[in-house]
Amino acid sequence: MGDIKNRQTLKLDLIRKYSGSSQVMVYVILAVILLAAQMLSPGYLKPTHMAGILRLASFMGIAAIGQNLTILTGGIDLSIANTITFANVIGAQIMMGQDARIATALAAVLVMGMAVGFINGSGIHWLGIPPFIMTLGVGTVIQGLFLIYTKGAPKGNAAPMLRAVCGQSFLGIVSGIVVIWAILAVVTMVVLKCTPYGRKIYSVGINEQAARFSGIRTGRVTFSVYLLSAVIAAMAGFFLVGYTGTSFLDVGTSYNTKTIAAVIIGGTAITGGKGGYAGTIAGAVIMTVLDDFLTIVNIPEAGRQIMQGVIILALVLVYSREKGKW
Amino acid sequence: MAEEILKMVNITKRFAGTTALDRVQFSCSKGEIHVLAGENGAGKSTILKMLAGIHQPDEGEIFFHGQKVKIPNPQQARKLGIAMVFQELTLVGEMTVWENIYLNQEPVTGFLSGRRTTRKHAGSGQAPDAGRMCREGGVSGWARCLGRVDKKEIRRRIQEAMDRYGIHIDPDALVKNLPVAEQQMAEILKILVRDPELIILDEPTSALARKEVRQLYRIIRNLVADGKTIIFISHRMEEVFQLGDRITVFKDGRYIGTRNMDQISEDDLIRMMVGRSLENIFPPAQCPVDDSQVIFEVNNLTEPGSRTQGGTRLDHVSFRVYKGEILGVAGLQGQGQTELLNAISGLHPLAEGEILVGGRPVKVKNAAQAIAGGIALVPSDRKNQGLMLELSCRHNLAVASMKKRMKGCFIDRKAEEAFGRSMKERLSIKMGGLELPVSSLSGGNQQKVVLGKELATEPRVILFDEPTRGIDVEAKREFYQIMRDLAAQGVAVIMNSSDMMEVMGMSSRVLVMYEGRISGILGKEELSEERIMQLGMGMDRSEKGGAAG
Repeated sequence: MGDIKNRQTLKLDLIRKYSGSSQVMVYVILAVILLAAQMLSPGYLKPTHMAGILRLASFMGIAAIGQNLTILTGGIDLSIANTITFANVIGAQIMMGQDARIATALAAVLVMGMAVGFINGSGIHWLGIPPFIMTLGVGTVIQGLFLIYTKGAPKGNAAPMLRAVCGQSFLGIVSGIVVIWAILAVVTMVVLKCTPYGRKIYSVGINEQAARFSGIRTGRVTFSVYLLSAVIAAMAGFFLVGYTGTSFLDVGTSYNTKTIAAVIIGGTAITGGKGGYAGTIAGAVIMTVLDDFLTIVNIPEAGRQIMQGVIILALVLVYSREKGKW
Repeated sequence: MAEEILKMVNITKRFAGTTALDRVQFSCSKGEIHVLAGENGAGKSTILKMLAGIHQPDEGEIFFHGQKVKIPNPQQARKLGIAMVFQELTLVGEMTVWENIYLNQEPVTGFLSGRRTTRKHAGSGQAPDAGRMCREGGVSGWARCLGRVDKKEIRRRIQEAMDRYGIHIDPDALVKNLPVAEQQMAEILKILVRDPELIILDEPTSALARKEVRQLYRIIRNLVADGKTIIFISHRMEEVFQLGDRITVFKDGRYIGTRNMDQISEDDLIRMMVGRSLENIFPPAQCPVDDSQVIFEVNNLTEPGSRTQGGTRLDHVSFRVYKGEILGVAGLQGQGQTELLNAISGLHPLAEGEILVGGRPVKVKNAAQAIAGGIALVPSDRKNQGLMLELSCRHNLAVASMKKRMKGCFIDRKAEEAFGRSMKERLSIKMGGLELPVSSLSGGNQQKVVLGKELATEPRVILFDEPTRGIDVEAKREFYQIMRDLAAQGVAVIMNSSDMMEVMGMSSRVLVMYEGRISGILGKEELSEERIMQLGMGMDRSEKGGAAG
């Protein structure tokens, strides 16, 4: 009798422990959304369709790595969208559809990403400009730059090899980009949880002053996350060339909102210091599924946007009720 | 006996596991100056903040004018006529004195009509309550937002209050340009224009020079002559006897007693406040100080003031610490003690001077370098500077010494857990588990986590800034024992404290600071509370000067 009672309280404790963690909560929500989609549109959970969803989610998921790092330090990166577009147009224009030029194009894109990250990090660390303002400003400058670079009409297209990696699935299920995302995701989670660098990111995000008092060079940490964020966004932009085949001037536009939403839905606190990338993965998938499913059931773009916004707010509300506040 | 204006019965208050007040009582008669005394952590500020509507009692009742009252917020306190001047100043530096005084309760003239909505207070001659006047004047709510601030009326009222109580400050001066003493006067003026009946002053003299203290006394006497009741928190013996009518003593959150000032001697009072002999709580030194071995040395540490504060924050500070000793740092609030400790720990990159650990110079341009050089700091503000409250105890204990427990590029989780457990045992930290957030611990145990984090860096010099602020007596005793152990192991221990008993009980020598300089270093034989006070107020700097001890 007493044993049963004990086991019950243990169970309750476990539920309480894990429901308190929005990192786990988000997977429950993802499962509910997927089941709902399957019920409303039978066949939604088909492996080939899921593979398509994952492929689509991977670009957002990769770009959200950088966003996740900056948000964990208590900052934000609003230059991701335009960095993605800039990387996209540079990549396509250099590649010009030739496999031989992939390496050169990737190198150029990464250098551009580093430059953007260096400027963001310098402004935030050395000049003390708030991340919101700094990255927004830099993002706008980048927009000007890619308009000059393309003269309003982007040229070039993806090399066949890149297209194979990013746009196609082998055996209809596994595609190269999802594998790349998986590798980057594992690296991110390991770095965050198991290395001093990850600990420093959490420390700076939760209490920068205490981090500094504990001997952490908080400036270096801040600088590095913006550098990483821009480089990763540039990579995402480069892979997008392979997905769409050519480049567009608004290919990255929605990624500021999307990456922030994926991170927040994934249970990372917007104030920093709490959360992690595991939840963000589910966040990126949820965002993609919502968009995809609403399209399937023939809701027009305007309606999709409204429903996405409402669902994001509802999820955030659920988290904030758990924690008292966010 | 005069009417009992205030009565608090059986008040209990707990904060995160520690009992700040344990069934205490406190009462106050109309028109008296009632001193509330006790050591740091006795619960004085806590009980008075209940009157100001900042804390709520967990148990117990408050009677005001014989009526049972609840004071859920500062607005209610104001309504009852209770006002408190806090230890920390609350003025907005970028605004003028008058703007501060009437902040958010400016008397206004009506929108468009220009009608003056305030009227003269029906001949009572009392400084009118601005908020009330506006409501009575018929302009309230949204209409108030549209009115113009009635500067003329404000000026008249402030002048009236200043004349009545003998305060002299320029209402048009920017607060940040005023000396601390005048800022404090502005703070008092701010509550006086509301004409409160009961005025609470929380250690108003701690930052004042002697002359300014006398001026404050005069103002307080004027207030009492005007029929107001004063509650006064103080540590200073002299002040207590000069000013008080009655005194109530708290100790460790308990009520000790209330006496008439003329029926109690200084000795009686100390006995009430201390209630135990010094040796009881302060463990004896384990080994004699070896003054042939200098283990830590600071030469000409100087730090220019910041743009806003001006002046010099640290001025050619030089001292030594010998093997086996605990060096106390004392002085009035804000004379550079915390700056000194922070500069040594690499937190003030602008500071210049020479720092030698075990005879070797150490460069400390940031905290990481200081830690690498063997210098650790237990900061005064553990919530903001010491801990990452929402992260786990393990994270907090490990964060300053992560590199010591690596397996290749990764943190060795097992080693870290073992380290956490050993530190928990070594400092007897009471915690639910290493993975729980450090915010779930009581104040004393949180402070031990800060200490554990610093000890994990294996320091050769450890600086304690107000190490026992806000922790209970048992935890204090443990802290003192740890300091003694560290000193015996040959670690240089430096302790800054505003708790005189602590400084006297633990230090082998005491370094006293005044305006960013060392005004004297007192050896054991010349150590007395009076000498520390004298040096702390900047008197007789000639003697022994800033010379190294």
